[in-house]
Amino acid sequence: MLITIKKIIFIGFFILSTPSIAQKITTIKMPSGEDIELRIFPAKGNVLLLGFPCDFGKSKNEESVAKSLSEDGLEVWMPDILSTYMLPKVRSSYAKIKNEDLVRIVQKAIKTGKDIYLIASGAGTQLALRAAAKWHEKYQNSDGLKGLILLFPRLNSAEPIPGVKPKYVSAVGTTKKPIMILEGGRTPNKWGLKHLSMKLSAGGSKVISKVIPDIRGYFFKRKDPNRTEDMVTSELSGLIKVSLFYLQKGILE
Amino acid sequence: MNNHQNAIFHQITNFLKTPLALLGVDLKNFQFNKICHFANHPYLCKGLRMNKIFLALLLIITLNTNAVELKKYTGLIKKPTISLPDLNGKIHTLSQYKGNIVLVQFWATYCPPCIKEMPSMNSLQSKLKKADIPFKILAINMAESKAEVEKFVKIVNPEFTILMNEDGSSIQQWQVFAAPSNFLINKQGEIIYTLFGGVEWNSKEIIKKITQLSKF
Repeated sequence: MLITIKKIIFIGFFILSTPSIAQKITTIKMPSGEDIELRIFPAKGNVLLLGFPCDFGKSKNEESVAKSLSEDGLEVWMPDILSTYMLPKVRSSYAKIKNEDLVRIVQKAIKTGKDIYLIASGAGTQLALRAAAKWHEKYQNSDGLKGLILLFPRLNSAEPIPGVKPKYVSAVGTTKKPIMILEGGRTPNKWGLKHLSMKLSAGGSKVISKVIPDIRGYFFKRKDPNRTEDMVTSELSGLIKVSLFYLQKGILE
Repeated sequence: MNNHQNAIFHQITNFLKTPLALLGVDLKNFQFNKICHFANHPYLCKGLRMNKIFLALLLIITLNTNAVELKKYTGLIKKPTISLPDLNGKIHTLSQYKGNIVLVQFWATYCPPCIKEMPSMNSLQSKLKKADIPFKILAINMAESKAEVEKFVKIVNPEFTILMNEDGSSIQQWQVFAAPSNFLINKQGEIIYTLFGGVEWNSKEIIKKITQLSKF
């Protein structure tokens, strides 16, 4: 009887497991010696969205959004960065990712010949900013990297102090690439958007920020989404396409 | 640990998470050890046990550090102003509270720590009133609608003044970028202390500091 139950559970694992829905999984050899697993959602279009830091199983909805984007002709690459280094998904982990590794990932995407846009959310946005800056430092004459989309960026370097403007991680203000920021209307962070935009543009970036009304930060990762958040989550790929439109058309004023 | 082992560990945990949850298996009591042994990575099992210990320690440390302290104000605006309506439309200014210690709090209905700490703010106000210490709380909502705030107030029952700031002008003037943001103001209308995050306001330490402030 016990063996039968074990068998059922064992078979159940295979039936009910949720493997990645990426159409292609490959690895990139990093200068640090690690192999980063890369999930690819291929598309024939000329745009490639490169996500940071991704990590399969650690973010809700990311694969369904990537699939939806690829069906609309936008290729999506999702490198599983943190798990490669066995790092937890916490802020302090991001500082441990080596610049050379980030540059290698971006350059691998550049080699496809497509227009590359980096995309990240929350504290992970610092990785995208660092990747853009360090890649540009190394490949100054290359033009493949076109911009960044930052979803609900959390870039404070320390706990907020009431009455004092926030300080940001060192990656802020280091890239010249155009930046699009999306922020929730129901988060105090929206009050810091102007200041953050100013700091981001210090490196030469053109920055545009949009507030999505009635949603909280990280809405697409929440376990208790309200009706608006549910709706916006289902439209997240659309929001990303709108952001790309802004970046492509240079509507940044 | 080499990269190959990293990859195996990653796959094992991801492979198990969803099916275990779907099968209703108690994750806490599930024997991860056996699976690690099966994968011939005994030190990963050790790692998992270590992680549990580490998490427990982290929790203890976090609980201790939750005893957030009032910090000396380091901002530039020493004597800020307020001119905001309460839920009945009556305008309140900070100057009309001169002679009181005033706790100005910026809060939002979507901010869980704000909701959690409000009962302790009621208690703080009541304790200080009994001790005959001139103390007021002005809780400024961060640019939400009156309907949203009224709905919230019915549930949480704050016994202090709620002010509305629908255009966010005070949020900007006071340089508030997070919630809850608290400012403790002396009898002369100067910001002395600030505090970010939820806290038990009726703690001995906070009452002591407010009592000290009331003497000047």
